[in-house]
Amino acid sequence: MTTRRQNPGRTQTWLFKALPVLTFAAVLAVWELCCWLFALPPYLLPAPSAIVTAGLDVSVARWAAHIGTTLAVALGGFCLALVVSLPMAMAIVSSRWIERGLYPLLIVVQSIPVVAITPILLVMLGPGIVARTVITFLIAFFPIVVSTVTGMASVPDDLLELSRSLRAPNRRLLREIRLPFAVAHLFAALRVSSTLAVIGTVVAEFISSDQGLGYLIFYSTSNFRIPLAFAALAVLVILSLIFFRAIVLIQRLLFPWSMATTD
Amino acid sequence: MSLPMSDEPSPTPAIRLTDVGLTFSPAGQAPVTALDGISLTVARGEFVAILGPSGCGKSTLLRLIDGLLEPTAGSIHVFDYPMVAPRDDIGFVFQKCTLLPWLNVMDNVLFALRHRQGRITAEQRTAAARWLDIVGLSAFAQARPDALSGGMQQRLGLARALLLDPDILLMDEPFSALDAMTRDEMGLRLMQLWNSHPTTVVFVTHSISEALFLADRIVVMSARPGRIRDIVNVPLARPRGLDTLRDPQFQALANQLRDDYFAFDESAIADRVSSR
Repeated sequence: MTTRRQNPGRTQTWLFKALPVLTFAAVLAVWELCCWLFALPPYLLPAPSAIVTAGLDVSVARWAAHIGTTLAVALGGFCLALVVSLPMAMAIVSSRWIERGLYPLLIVVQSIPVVAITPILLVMLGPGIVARTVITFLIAFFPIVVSTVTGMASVPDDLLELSRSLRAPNRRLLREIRLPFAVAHLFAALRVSSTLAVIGTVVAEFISSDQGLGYLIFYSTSNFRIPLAFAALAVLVILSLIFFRAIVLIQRLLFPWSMATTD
Repeated sequence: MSLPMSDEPSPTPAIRLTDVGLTFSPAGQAPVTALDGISLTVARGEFVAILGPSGCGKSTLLRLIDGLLEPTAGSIHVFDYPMVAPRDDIGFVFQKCTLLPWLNVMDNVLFALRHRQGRITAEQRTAAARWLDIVGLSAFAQARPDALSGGMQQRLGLARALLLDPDILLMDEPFSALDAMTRDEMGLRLMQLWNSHPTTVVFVTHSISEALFLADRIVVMSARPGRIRDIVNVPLARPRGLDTLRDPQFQALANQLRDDYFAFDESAIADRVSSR
């Protein structure tokens, strides 16, 4: 029995590989069929074909503008989160004083619901791209800090003793041992934060924007153009997936040795 | 070097421990005495093994000599200077060989030196290649350390410590995680290396035969608190190799050490049984 499981026939291998695609296609087919059978009005649940039609009705230039706006804020907020988190994590690991002073503040900031603070920040910072980037940053940076601190703090005692035995200064301990050691943790957090960054951007766009995929969903639902809202949602999902896969790819290319511990 | 060390230390010993004790006092708990009344002198060029069961404080003792821990009693001198902090002339080989998975084998050898100095000279790079050759890992210079076997990883750890060109080498059960055959092979390799590059070594182990094969003197420790029970001179001829293992005297000494050790244990157990 075990040999058969390990050496499936050619058809079986092909089927196994195509299984995710087939499941996806089956769900879409059932969806389409239900809409047709029960004659569901498109404002309740549009059929996949109606969603595609609505998506194609919008010009490529308009799509590009919406995607570009969302992507700019999501990537900008994400990169800002990375740039702020890494030095912050290093500071927390190097000093017990900074850890004790900063950590409670971080947890308070993290406990603020992003949806609740978004309107306030938009008043404070104005309705432009800056406010949306800050909101995206706020939701994306906490997992990166916590995970990087955890990674840098989980360096085995033997390695710390080696460093002390060599009387290496703290900055070299950080750069040559703690930081590389935390790469696997960092990338695990980046994958989570990439998804969070898209969420933050969309929430900000709901409240204040005149362009972007979040805006498009908000605008089309308020005009009862539900198929278009679904089309924007589908594009958002694809964007999120690409973002996620890109981070996995960067880790595999730049830090292949860190893959074994996280995958 | 072929003669066993006498009890009289040479004029300037490599290491001198005088009545060293270490008591941990964790907050809110009863203090724990890890080491008590340790006095030991290690001569230059001497190979000393510290033998004892796990928990007897032998690894802690090694960390005191390296300056990673500070004694709560007594004094430690290295080359007649009081120990205040880790020194450049002491190399440490860890039980787990603490290799860095993000560096290849060559960069792992260079790591300790680079971590200490911040940079590497061309001569040091050449020296690293030579040590890699001596421990038989030249062919793996570009490999990742996790591609190496356990024995090869320990050889890499040894090469890394030797590149620092230490006057004293402290080894903390370096072969204890290896299988029995690899362990024997590593002992033979270490002896070969030491025969051609003699240096002062303090080698912690819980293997009687390993201690006998390698050392000039064996410091036998007892546990809780860690104390020196006995210091045994090993009269086996040097240079040592496979012939040493065949020597009937080797077996006799091993038996004697084992008998002494367990006779002590048996009497302790007998005492406890009779007192009930």
